[in-house]
Amino acid sequence: MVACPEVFEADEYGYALVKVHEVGPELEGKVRLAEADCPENAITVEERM
Amino acid sequence: MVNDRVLALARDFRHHDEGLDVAFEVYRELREGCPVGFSEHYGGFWFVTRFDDIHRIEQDSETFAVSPGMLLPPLGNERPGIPIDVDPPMHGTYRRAMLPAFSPQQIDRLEPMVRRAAVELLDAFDGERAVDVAARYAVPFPMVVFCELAGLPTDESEKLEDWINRIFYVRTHDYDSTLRAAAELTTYITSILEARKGEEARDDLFGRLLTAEIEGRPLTDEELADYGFILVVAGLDTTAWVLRSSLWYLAQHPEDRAKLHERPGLVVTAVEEFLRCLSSVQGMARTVTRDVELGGHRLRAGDRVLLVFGAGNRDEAKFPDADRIVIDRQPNPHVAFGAGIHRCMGSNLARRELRVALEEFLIRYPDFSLTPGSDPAWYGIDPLPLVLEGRGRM
Repeated sequence: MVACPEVFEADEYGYALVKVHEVGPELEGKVRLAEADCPENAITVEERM
Repeated sequence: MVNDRVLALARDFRHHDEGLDVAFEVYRELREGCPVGFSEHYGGFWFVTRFDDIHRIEQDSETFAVSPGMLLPPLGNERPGIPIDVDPPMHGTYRRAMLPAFSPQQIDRLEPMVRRAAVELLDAFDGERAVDVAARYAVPFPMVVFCELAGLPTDESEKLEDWINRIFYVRTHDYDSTLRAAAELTTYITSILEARKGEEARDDLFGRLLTAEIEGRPLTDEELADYGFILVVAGLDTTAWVLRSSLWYLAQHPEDRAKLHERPGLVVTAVEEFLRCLSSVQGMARTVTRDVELGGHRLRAGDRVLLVFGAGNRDEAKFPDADRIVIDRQPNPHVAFGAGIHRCMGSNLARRELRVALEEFLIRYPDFSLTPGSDPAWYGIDPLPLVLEGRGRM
């Protein structure tokens, strides 16, 4: 399942890469879901103040 | 304190055969009363049932190695399977050689073939009302896909089915038969690869194996056989089981069938939920490399530890209402494919196969139920006789 293709893509080995490091509020829900969904706990979403 | 009842459950714990009949109740009791325990089956092994413990161990491949093998009991292969029974540093080297064959982009390219395989199998029982969907859909589907993908002749799939059956399901009670099957399968794979060496390179799994380079050299004949063995055994019954158990569940839950019919997009999350709750790989083993404390127990170097994915996947601490199948559950970070460096290489393919096979089945059969009087188990690849109520081919 590719969660949030606007932000993540896979390299030729299937490892996830981050295309966009900062997202607006319109994608917050999707990146938060990706963070919670990642079985490797590899995604961390931080809020910029 | 661990009470006698839970201790008895722990001593008798097994993730195969009859153990699966009571697995989900036992998981619950063990997670609460004995999250790390010792079972006397399969030569004696520790088991770990809580999600967080499983996850932590998966990240620590130095303390918890896979050698001599990840499978408990083993699959009868003479040498370690590649890459799953190999530890770093060679593990990553081997894995990288074949990972591109299973990347999301590659799986996208395979989808038309996968869909065709599903449609052709469904066409073969179109119009029939009583169908064993295990024998006619769930089992042959991954076989057809794999033979296409690997470049194997499909007319020999009966042989493959027999070997796989003896390797997976017979190993707990007739290991000699498993040993013979594993040896025969290895010989078969070797002969296919040998024959292919003289031919022009083809763009399929075995073609990739033959042209793969590790550390600047091609794979040796033994490496080819040991990698080929794992590719064949890993992708057939694992997927068949989950497709069968998904249909087993849906046959008994009209409300979820209706939901999927109304919103076919939910098949994606439903597949994750079936993987979480009804998966074929209920556990994988590690070997402790140094004395270590785990859940109040002292584990010694050389001890075997089973990571019970099936139990972790139903851990309330991680998944609310964990024993209930919620087909639109999100998030769903289950460990049906394991985690860490040994995470299943074929997960993208398995997910796509399951999604496509369920989509195509549900288009034809919005309604189906267990054959009255039958009481099929949730697990395995035994017959799943269904009454199909749909309209068949459109």
